[in-house]
Parts: sequence; structure tokens; C-alpha cells
Amino acid sequence: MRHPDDGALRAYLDHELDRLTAQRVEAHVRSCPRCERTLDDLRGIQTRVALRIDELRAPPAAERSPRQALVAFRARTAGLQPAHRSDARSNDKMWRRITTGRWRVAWAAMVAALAITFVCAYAPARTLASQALGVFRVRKFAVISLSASTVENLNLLDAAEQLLSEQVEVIKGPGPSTPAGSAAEASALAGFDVRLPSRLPAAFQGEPTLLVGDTAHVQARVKLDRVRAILDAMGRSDLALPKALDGAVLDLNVPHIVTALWLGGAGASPLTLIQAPSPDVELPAGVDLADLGAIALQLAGLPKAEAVELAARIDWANTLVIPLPQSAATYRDVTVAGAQGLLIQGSPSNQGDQYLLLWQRDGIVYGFQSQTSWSFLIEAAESMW
Amino acid sequence: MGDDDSKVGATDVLLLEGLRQGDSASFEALFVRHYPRVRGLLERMLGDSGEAEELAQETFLSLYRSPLTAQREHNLSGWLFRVATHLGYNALRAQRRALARDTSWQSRAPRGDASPEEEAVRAEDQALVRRVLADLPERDARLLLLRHSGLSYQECADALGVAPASIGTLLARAERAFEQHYRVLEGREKGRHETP
Repeated sequence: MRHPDDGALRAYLDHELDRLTAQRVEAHVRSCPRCERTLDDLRGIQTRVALRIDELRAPPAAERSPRQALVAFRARTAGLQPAHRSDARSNDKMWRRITTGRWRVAWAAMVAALAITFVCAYAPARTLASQALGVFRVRKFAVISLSASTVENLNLLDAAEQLLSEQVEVIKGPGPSTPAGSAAEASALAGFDVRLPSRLPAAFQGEPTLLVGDTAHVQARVKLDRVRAILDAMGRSDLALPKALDGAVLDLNVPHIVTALWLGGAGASPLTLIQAPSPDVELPAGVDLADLGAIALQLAGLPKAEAVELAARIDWANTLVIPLPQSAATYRDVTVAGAQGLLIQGSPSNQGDQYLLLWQRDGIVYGFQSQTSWSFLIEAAESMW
Repeated sequence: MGDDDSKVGATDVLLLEGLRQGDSASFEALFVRHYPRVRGLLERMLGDSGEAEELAQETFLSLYRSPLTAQREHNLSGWLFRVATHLGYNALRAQRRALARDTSWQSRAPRGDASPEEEAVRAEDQALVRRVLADLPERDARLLLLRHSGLSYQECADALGVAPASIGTLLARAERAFEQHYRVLEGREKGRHETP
């Protein structure tokens, strides 16, 4: 056997090799002084690092037993039913479940992540706003359909999170959301015209629960060498970053996001309508959005040639780009109230289909989510005007 | 409510199935089984046992609320640790911003039996380790915390979203980097002669 690399030796130390490989490594080490030294070296490092990190633990006296923690947990969740299958779902505290539901979070995260990608403002140049090229506003949607093989390495949101995690400053974090008693009240709180559908299926008659999310202001200062280091660690040294990004201040203002929830009758899954103003951002000179877009697409798993070609075709200043894995979702273009929209059908967790209708009108982006059927969504959406 | 002994020994897969059908005994068995390591990880990350406790509860609240598909056993702990590290890092970032404004490095989890001097030394040691971890690339730091919280290679791989076969190499590299950087920072500390 050739000299085992550090990884194999380390795995051997941790008894994580299969028996055959472990035997081979052991036999080799016994007769190879060089590898024996490396193994000792690794063993020493492992022990020292383990001791250091173990120092971070609280002393045993301060710990709670799992049983005690469980008692505390039961107190927190009193009244909450554990989630179970759609055909036996209870309505108790369903509100909390939906506002943490995967689609809603995914959508908000998408808007935020993509807005972060597109928002650049040079701090010193803010007074020169008149030199900005234009304003990003969601007018259209575009879906990037990803095949199974690209999805394996899909971690665009992870990448965005990692890339910015060291460099993000929360200037104002979002506070708690505010309930509203009516669309008028929600409008007053949110600062834009909140609309509700007037035509809904029988199961969803009645006033929805309305929640107005708090605003947030987040800033990140891009340090290109750190970004490169992180991309390298992700195995993406192939991505070329535009120099103009270095020192750029990314500025994101998250608007009030209004959520309306209809619980539906017994056995019906809830209906959710989310609406928020499209982020309005100034685009600076010197950064080619198509370049950034091509990078984002490559991080999402597209091969470089395809990413560059696609990026050149998208009107980045006016388009919200949504990556969808083919295995989990299908989509089609629809028209909602005269505007371009998307109907996405997904099975994000193989729990049965979910439907998301996305459209924008007059600067407000809407997302309408149903877990039973989609046929009424478009009509309901159009009844909002 | 007494212990439900029929759940002891049931695999995570079976308990997850029970959870999806709303069986709270299944949830409790999962909780008791995985809580210690989740809590341990968060404590190492945050140092504040109150906050670690809080976030450990949050992690299990996510499990409670969101049904998972039937996955192989190792995926549940991978999922739990992924959520826990995510929550931990969010809290850490908030902590760091607060710490940047606060110049005292008081330990937040005092040992009842230690003298004030021992307390201070322990607090400094912990601060140094945390600084080293903070300077490492995030994935390396995550891996070190996960592995030294008792996770198997497969569990680490699931939590990080990498191939299990790569963990040995990543771990060896991360530990070397940790030790190297620790020595650098320790050297600087000794040269400074003052506690910030």
C-alpha cells in the first residue's frame, strides 16, 4: 500500500475506517517509520486540540439532565401539537407552524439573498447617487431549472451566508412582528396598500390573521481576500471575482413583510399570502451585474459556460431569479392581473404538493401559497384588485 | 408522566415515524437521546450555558414543528446539528458585536468551587480558544466543534453537507490550522501582559 494520506491516518485514529482498510493502514504503519511519525504527530495534535475545545464546556454541576430539559421543553410547547400528517392535522397553534414553514422562509430568504447579491453601494459614493446607473426593482421572475446533478452541490444560500457571515453588521435587527386587525390597519403599519382577495373557496371564508413583520437594516463590507478564501475552502477557486467588489458596502433594507393566514375549516390546510414592497436599490458604476449573476449561477451549480450565457440574457436590474431543482418542483408562467407571474408546484419534503403563486404589481411582490390545490389561486389573486 | 420504556432501543427511524403521527412519547425519546450532544455543542460554541440551553430548546422546537421525511438514522442527528450550528453561529455573531463594544471578558458560567483567580484564568483560556475558532474558516471551526462534541464522521458529514470520506482530511487540516493559530495567539497574549 502507498503511504496513506493525512485523511486516512486521521480516520484510522478515529476508528472510522472499514476493517479491511484499517488493517492495511496498520500493517503499513508498522513497517514505515515515516508514516508512524505522521500518525504520532496527528495523534498529538488531536489530543491537544481536543483538550482545548473541551475547556469550552461548562462544569458538570451547571448542566441539566435531559429529563430536566424535557420538562422545560414541555412547558414551552404547552398547547402546541407536534406536527403530523396532513390528513390528521390539528388547527391548534397552526399559525406558528406556518410562519416557520419551509416555503415562506425559503421565499423570504431567497428575496433577501438575491437582494444582497444585487445591492452594492460604495459608502463614499453615496453622495454621488446621481451617478447611479439605475434602480433594481422586481418586475419579472425567471426560473433557473436545475438538474439533479447540479443540485447535489447546491448551496447558494449557504454560500451567501458564509460569504457574508464575517462581514455583516446588523444595523437594525428585526423586532417582533405586529398583528393587525384589518387590511387597513396592516397598511398603516406597513406603509403600503395591503390587499386581500375577495374571492376564496368556501373553506377560507372569513377574516384572515394578519401579521406585519418588522423592518431590518443590514450592512456588509466586502473584503475580497476573505471572500476568495471562503470560496477556496468550498472548492470554488475557479470563480473569478470582479475587483470592483473589494471594499464595496452591501446595504440591504428589509421592508415590512405582511403575512395573511387563513386557517380553513377542519381538515383543510392553511392558505398563506405574503406581500412586501420590492427592494429598491441603487446600482453603482463599475460592477457588472451580469458578472455577479454569472458567479451566483455557478455557485448554484451551473457549469461556467452555461452560467455566463444565461447571465447575459437576464435583465438583472428587473428580474427576481429563482433557482428550482427539477426533482422537487415544476413551474409555469402565468398572468396575474395583467402582470407576469409564476406558478410553482413543489414537493419540498415529499409531504404532498405545495403550490406557490408569485407575481408583482405596482412595486409590490406577492406570494400566495396553498397546500391543497392551485386552481383557485389565480382567480383569488386577481380578486385583490 | 413516567418514562415510556418501550421506546428505549427504538431506532431514530421508528421514532421519527411515531413523531409524524403525533406520538409525543416518540418525540420525548428522541429528545432525551440527542439532547446532551446538541447542548454540549452549543455550550462549546457559546460558553454561556443559559444561552446554550435556550438554543438547544430552539433546535428541538424545530424538530417538533417540522415533520421530516423518513430518513436513515444518521440523517436525523445530522439535521439536528445542522440546525444547532446555524442557531449557534447566529448567536455568536450577535455576541461578537456586543463583545466588540464591551471590554470585560467575564466568564459567564462560573464554577461554584473555583477561586476568583482560577475563574479568571479559565475565562482567559476559553476566550483564547474562542478567538482561535473565530479566526478559522467557518467550516473548519464547525467541524472541530461538531467532532469534539462527540459526532461520528457520518454525522459530521451530514451536518456540514460534505462527503463522509472527506472528513478525515478536513479534520486533520482543521486541527493543524487550529494548533498553529493557537500558538500564534498564545504567543501574542503572553507578550501583552494585560487582560483586555
